[in-house]
Amino acid sequence: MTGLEIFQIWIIAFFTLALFSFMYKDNPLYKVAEHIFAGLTAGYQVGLVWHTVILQKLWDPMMGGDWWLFIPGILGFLMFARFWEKFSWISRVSLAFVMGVTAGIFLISQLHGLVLPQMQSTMIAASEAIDSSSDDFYYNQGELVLVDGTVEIAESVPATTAPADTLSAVDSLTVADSLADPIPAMVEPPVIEAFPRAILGSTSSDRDSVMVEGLDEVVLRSEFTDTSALAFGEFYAIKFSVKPAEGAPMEIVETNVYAMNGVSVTETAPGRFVAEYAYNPPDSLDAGVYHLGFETERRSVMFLLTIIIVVGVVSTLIYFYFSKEHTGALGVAAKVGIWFIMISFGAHFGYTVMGRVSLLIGRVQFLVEDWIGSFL
Amino acid sequence: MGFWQKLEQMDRRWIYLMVAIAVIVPFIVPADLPISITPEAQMVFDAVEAVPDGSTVFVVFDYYPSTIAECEPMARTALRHFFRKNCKVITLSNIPLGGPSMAEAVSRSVAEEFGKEYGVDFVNLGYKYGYVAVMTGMGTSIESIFPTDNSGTPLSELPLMSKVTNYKDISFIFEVADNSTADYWVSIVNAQYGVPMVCGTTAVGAPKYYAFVAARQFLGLLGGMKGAAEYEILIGHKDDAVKGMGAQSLVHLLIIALVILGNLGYFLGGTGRREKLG
Repeated sequence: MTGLEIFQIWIIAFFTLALFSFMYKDNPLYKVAEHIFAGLTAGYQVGLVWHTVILQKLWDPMMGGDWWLFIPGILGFLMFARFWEKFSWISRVSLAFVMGVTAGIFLISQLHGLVLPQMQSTMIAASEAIDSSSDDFYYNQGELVLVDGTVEIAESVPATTAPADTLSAVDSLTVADSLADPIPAMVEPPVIEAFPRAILGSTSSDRDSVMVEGLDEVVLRSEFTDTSALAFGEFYAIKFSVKPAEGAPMEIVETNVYAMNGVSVTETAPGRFVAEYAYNPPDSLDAGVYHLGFETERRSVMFLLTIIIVVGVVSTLIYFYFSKEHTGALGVAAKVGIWFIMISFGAHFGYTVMGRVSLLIGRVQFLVEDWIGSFL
Repeated sequence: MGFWQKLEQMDRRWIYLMVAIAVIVPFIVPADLPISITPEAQMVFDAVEAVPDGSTVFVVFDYYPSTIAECEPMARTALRHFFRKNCKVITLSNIPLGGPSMAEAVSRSVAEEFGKEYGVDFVNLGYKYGYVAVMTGMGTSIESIFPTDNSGTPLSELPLMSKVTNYKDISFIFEVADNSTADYWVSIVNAQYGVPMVCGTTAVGAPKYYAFVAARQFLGLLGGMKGAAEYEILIGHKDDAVKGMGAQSLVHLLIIALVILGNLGYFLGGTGRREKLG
């Protein structure tokens, strides 16, 4: 450590301790530190604005040929008219310009960037995907061949790269390919360590063939892994689907927050799940090749939270509605509102304590490690 | 005078002393307390991980020196995370007091760890007055707002900046703020130019920004020293924030104990009973 660095550390330590000394009682050392800080702040800011704004953005470009910059320059200069009572009205010209520009910028940005998105999130759906990135949501496919009233389902291999948010991502397979290739063995679903929440899976069936028309059924079985446990209010949304080689995908079944729709999900080992569904291929399926699709998505129940948010927003707004006396139903709603406000204050207070303690920790960390460390 | 009355009349400087001891002791005798990862911090990590390697990103130093303890570990960790992914990092600040110099010092020290070269792998644009005008203007041309970098070098002489014109060339924004400039990054830059962003903020500011996470305007949020510590753990580089969490936990326990004691004193011995008796 150089002498200059040690000198800097001692200066910082001196001012830190001088300011902390106020906690015991007001004293000259504290006053000295306070005044030096105020002076330095003002001087630093004036110097910075002079160099980065007045010189760099006004004077230098003007001298370089951008003569029209004298207009904002004069507008800025007019602001100083406020120091003379007789001419203070002139500063209103500049202020009017600033207010006009600010209103124009803010009207759009506040409405488009804050009001509308915040309103939209207040009216959120009953559930939402926790993470919309493709890492959470993987697609898996097998194939299904309908021949003379018999459905054959080939096991799939895990798809480790394709995001599952679109069924159009299904690879095209032909009958010839599928019949020529042996059915692959069940593969253990891989886990990508870099993404602790990654959900990966593979799909299979309990039999190679099955009769159609509801007389027989095949159990579609999909195994998936998720390395982080479900938190309160979270669930897996699971969808089995088929897609003809030519045409749009057809959904077989989808689970949601309200019903499992015949799909069972069991945890066979920590973080390892099996979803099963007994499927009867309907008469409407034509002979041909179908791709078997499986999607799983980790979702969070938002229904209850949405109600709480809506009640909180409305009751808080009612609390601040002063054009009618808060009695009866309005009074009850206002009381609910004040509870929400108090809970919010509690959260803010807790965080504020944490913030203030963090600042103290930062200073103590400097004093213990850097300052005391410099002479030990 | 009973115990509760004495407690009520205790000089507050004793509390300062207790807090000071609770903060100092963990630095002398480190306590390795467990730190759980919150979903918001995990989202920050995931969002940065999802940025394509080699992309150009903004790391914004919108905090004053007074909040270094909370904000600097976040900025430092974000830089480590981006440099690890070989991202090109552009730093700037909307805070005149210390912002540009902290950005310079922190980015240079982290860049040194990764062998990154100034002007090629990272650039510090510094500070310009008027953050609304700055954010709006950079949508058209970054060079029109920052003709030079923080050291006065014209942007045209910096190889990295020759590939960057405006927000179209910026893949991600990591905003570290201790004030409401984060609101403007959301409403001006994220909403109007669609640049994805996350925010690291002080504990005092964090409650407000949870609404931005719920609305997906922030892809993640780091709140205070705890958030910084979580991020350090997630990228596997424990630093100052993790070190400070031992003291943080101990002081929180002390404050909880004092709140309980204060309430017991109020109801059992002193003011509360007198008020009840009228």
